[in-house]
Amino acid sequence: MRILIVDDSEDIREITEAMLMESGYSEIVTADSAETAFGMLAIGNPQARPMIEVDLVLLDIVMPNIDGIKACALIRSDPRYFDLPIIMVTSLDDMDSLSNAFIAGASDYINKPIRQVELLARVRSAIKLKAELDRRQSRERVLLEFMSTWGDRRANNWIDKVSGLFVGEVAEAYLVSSSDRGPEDESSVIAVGVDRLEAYRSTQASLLLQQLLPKLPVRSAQRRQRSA
Amino acid sequence: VIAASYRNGLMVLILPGQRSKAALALGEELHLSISKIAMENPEAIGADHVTASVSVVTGRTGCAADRVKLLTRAIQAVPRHAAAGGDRVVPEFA
Repeated sequence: MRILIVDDSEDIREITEAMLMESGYSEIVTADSAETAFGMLAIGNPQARPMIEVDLVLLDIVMPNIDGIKACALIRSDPRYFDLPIIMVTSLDDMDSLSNAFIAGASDYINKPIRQVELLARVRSAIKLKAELDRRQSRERVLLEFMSTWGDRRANNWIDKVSGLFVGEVAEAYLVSSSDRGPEDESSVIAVGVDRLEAYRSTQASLLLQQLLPKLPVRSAQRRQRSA
Repeated sequence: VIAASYRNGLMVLILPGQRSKAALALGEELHLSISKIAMENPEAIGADHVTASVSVVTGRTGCAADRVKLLTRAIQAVPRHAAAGGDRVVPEFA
């Protein structure tokens, strides 16, 4: 977990860094200006590889040359940093510019003087949100990958014509791509098979299924589980 | 809940976050519903109508491999229960 602190005040940088390190955030990078931060993040040079990868930026609003609001907007305009949490650091008499910061894409803000409790709460919250977003994006990627392997099949081929349920591959894809839960979380799978179906005369087996499957209360079970 | 069916007639219900007790209750409900349909099946053992074998597998699902394992075990268990006479709901903890 790497945090970038951008502040022209050396004292503020050091205090903030110390507070974060004291709470277990060991990878802290500091920049004394927006320009220095841009160099680290390769802002303005989308082809270049960033010098560092960061998970969160603490950005001072009042800085010489390029202020925090402009810096925030420039960082956010880079597609690589659409989802990067940016927490603005502002003094209490600087609240007017806060709305501009949010327009520029800031995720949150903290007031100066920085209090450790507030800082940690905001940082933890932003990081948690980012982690959830990353998980969802990862899941979307897996699903998209799955869908692309289906070639030119259409969505209605994902539905079994007899039962009206998803085809089995969709259940498998769901299990592979759903978010990882905690190691103690439990889930269940129910499998239902008609007894001796394979021994039933082959010509009648499909007929039997065609009559039976639509009558099963699977859909109502789905609805009930959803509402529970 | 994700409900899906395979070409061989097997159906699966994926119940994320569902513990064994609730899953077993749902399995029992499905089993009962099938027996109530009372559709004729001369191949069924010990009944003149369609019966079903229901496998309910619950387990910890920290990662994708764990989740897929649940599905595999549930699918593999159904023919085993059918061969043992069928018409039953069998819970299992993976």
